[in-house]
Amino acid sequence: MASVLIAIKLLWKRKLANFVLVIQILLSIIMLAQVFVAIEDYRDNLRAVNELPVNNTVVLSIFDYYDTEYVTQQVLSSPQVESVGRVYMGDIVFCNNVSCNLAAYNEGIISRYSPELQSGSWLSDYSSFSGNAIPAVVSSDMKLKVGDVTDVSLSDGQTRKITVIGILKEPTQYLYPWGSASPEYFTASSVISQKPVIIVRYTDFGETSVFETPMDVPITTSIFIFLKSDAADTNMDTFRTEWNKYGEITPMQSLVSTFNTNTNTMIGGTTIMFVVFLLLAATGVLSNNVIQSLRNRRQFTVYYLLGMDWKKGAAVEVCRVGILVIFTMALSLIAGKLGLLMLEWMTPARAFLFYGLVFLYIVVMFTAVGAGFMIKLMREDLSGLLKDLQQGE
Amino acid sequence: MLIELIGIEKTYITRRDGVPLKALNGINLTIKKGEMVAIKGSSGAGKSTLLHIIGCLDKPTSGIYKLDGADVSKESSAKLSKIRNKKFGFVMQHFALVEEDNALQNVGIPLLFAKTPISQIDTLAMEQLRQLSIENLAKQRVSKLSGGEKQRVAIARALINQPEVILADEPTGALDSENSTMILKIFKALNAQGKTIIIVTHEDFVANACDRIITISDGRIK
Amino acid sequence: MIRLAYKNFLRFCHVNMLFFFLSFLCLVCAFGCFLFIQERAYYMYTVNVESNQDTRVLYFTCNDTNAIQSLYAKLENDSVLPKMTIVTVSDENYTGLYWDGKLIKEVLYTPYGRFFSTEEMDSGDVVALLGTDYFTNLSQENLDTIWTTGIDINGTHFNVIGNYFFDFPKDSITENFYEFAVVQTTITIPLRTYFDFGLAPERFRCVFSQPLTSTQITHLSDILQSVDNIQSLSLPKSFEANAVYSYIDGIIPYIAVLLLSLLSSISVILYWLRKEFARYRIYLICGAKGRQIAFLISVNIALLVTAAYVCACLAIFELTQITPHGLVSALPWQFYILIYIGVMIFTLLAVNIRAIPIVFREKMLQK
Repeated sequence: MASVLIAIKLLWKRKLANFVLVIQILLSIIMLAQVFVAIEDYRDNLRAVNELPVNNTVVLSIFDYYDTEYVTQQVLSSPQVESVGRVYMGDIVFCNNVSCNLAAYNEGIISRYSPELQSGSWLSDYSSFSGNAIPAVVSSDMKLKVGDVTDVSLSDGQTRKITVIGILKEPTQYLYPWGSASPEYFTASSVISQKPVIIVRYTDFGETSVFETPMDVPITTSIFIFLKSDAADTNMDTFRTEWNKYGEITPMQSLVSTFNTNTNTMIGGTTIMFVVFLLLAATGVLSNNVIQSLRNRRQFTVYYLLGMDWKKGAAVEVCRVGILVIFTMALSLIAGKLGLLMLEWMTPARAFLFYGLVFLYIVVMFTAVGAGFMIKLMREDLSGLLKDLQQGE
Repeated sequence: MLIELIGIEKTYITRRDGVPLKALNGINLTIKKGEMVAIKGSSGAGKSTLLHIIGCLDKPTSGIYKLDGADVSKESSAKLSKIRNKKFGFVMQHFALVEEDNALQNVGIPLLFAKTPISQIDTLAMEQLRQLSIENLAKQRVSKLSGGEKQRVAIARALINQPEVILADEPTGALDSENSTMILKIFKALNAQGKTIIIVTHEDFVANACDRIITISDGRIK
Repeated sequence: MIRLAYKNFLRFCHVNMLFFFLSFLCLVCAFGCFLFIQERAYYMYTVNVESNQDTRVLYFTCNDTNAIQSLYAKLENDSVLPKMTIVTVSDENYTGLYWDGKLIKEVLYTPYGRFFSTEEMDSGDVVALLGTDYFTNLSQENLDTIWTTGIDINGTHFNVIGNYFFDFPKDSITENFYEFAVVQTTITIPLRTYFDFGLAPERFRCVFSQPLTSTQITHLSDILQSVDNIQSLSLPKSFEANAVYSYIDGIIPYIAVLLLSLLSSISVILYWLRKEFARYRIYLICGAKGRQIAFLISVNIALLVTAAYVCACLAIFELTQITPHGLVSALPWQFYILIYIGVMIFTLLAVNIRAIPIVFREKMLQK
């Protein structure tokens, strides 16, 4: 109790300096959160990026005034094209009390794209069904298991029965081309989604309007053009010339390299910002702790004179650091709750990992010099310290 | 005997050239309970070193130090701290007070380490200040006090745990004659109450007021 | 005195090596971070300048179509004003566009086809670019053939050479849009062609190749005032207000933290300097004047700050090289000088305000 009291006294004496210190650490934590978010964002897409069909594949983001079927037929008429892959994206559906995406892949996609599953099999292992329940691969957040048969409520009021044949590996990442851009900016993350999903074979799904795009809502559709293996690289300019009028054409390699470039820029940029603020915080920690330690030296000498032993001295310092750590940690949690750390979309496990790192970081920063001061003080001869004290200022 | 020193030696290794320096060279000394003893000597004679060893601030290199019959020369730092807190009160030349705290807080510091309940600390400290008639200084910051006032606060702090022995290292060294006389009077009064007082001094009028004068020179008692 | 100050500084650093390094390190970190934040804000400033071009854009509407054409000719030949790099005129249906190929990399992104060539713009060729809105009303077959069949404008055949993204229904467009948009309708043709075909512009927008000075803005205003029926006039700004705000916005959130960090570093320097106060008191006793002591303290600080600042600049220079593009932009050299002067004054003031009273405290003299 005495140790806590003395520690509080020491902190209160330099309250302004300690407050400044805590703010500096907090700012560096906010920057650390941005690095964390950038890295996790990258990891959230990385597996799916590596699973994308890349060789001899180009993406065509069709201008919204073109009919996708028409363009698909035009593209298929080219002798260098082996097949066209398309993802039909439906409205949000409900299944097992979860609202999720509905993605219908055509054969072109199913044969070329095979995401990692944590259980079950991929759609390519099943031919077109003829039974009651449509084979579907679902994400793990749908809370279903292989073999489950359940209903899916569509936006047009219909329902479909599905049977789960596979569960996507956690965390959820799958091919779902929701975005597009000019080739310079089009990145692999624009064709990947992490939302809960039911993936089916398009031809299995039957007549439904859920995949029809409303007339008054222009939507850019992207199709994947799989070229024959003997289509040489030089043909890319020919393809561009031939298909550019239908939309913006981007080789899949370009999507992946743009993704990698953007990610490197983001992670590199946020890391540098973090390092800058870390240095700022470090100057605050260093200067604050050194000055406090030197001032506390005199005070600790008096305490030792009056009967405090080394253990109590260490306990006081531990209490002082502990209070600072708890206070800063509490502020970090509050900052997280207020959305300053951008952690809202993190899984509990990741948030736990982040706060664990933050805790470690805070402890290291605050104990860095305090520990040095304590060790120095313990090694010094008390008589010598008293002589310094006697000499006054 | 309260304090018994037998063949006490203290050697320091100087930083500069690593040559050992013998500060105390075979000190034999006994001090009875209730005595008021002055330790005199020139600068560098070993007076403060002797006082530090008596006050358990330092351990002798060799020899035996018995306090109340128990050998404390080989005790651990933790045990020595406890002894220091309970048995000794220190009064230093430059007061050794925490300047940023007020007089009441300074006087209460030894009670913190004596495991006194926190709720009682201020009360006991105030009572101690009253006994020395300086209760009016309780809430004043020590840095604002005069030398005499500071030394009286230091004495109040030294007495708070009812120690048996008061150790004073040049207690009047930083004071004018009027304050020095006042401090000496306080020590005499405490001695009359039965406290053992050991004062390191180089001032004759302080030494002459004590029951016994021990002169130390080159680490030896003359 | 300067020699004494310099010698004192070196001796002082040598005796208190650890503290010197601590102070130096703290200052380098504080200065480095400050410069980095400045570079980040400056990057946002340059991006803003390039995109907004507040100090270069002139926009107005006018009922008199001849007035717009003659004004254009006047502005083009004016010797006081900078050259116009982008010119846009438009009416309900057509935009006339000119770009001299300078100032910016690309005036209009064409997903398919290409922008007008310099020859086409200079000679007023019958070529057109179509916004994506135009294609929405065509049949699928015409979508393919339009590149060969072209379009008709006032009975004349125009070749369609490319498209651009334009998805703004007429009734949703506000006046604000025209002030900022390079292309303002679904069909865009070269500016010369627009005038040659006698089309009637209602709006005029141009981007000058350089920011306009106050004199030039006044001159421009005079030219425009000589014409009746000018409405919705927006002259170039005398300074890039938005860009400056974005620069300040980039610094303000961090300025408090940076200052606090600088103050932390200064507290270390002060603590370190206290060891010199005894020496200064002796100088006072030996007859030194107060201002000489202040000078000695200031030289100590100046040398330390200069050394730390130079190191910080070098470190930031290296960091800027390796930082990914799109984060920071190197500052003009004048900024570095100004920042150096600013931190020097700040540090000198902060240290002297604290140190001088302590040195000159009378009790200490007696001590």
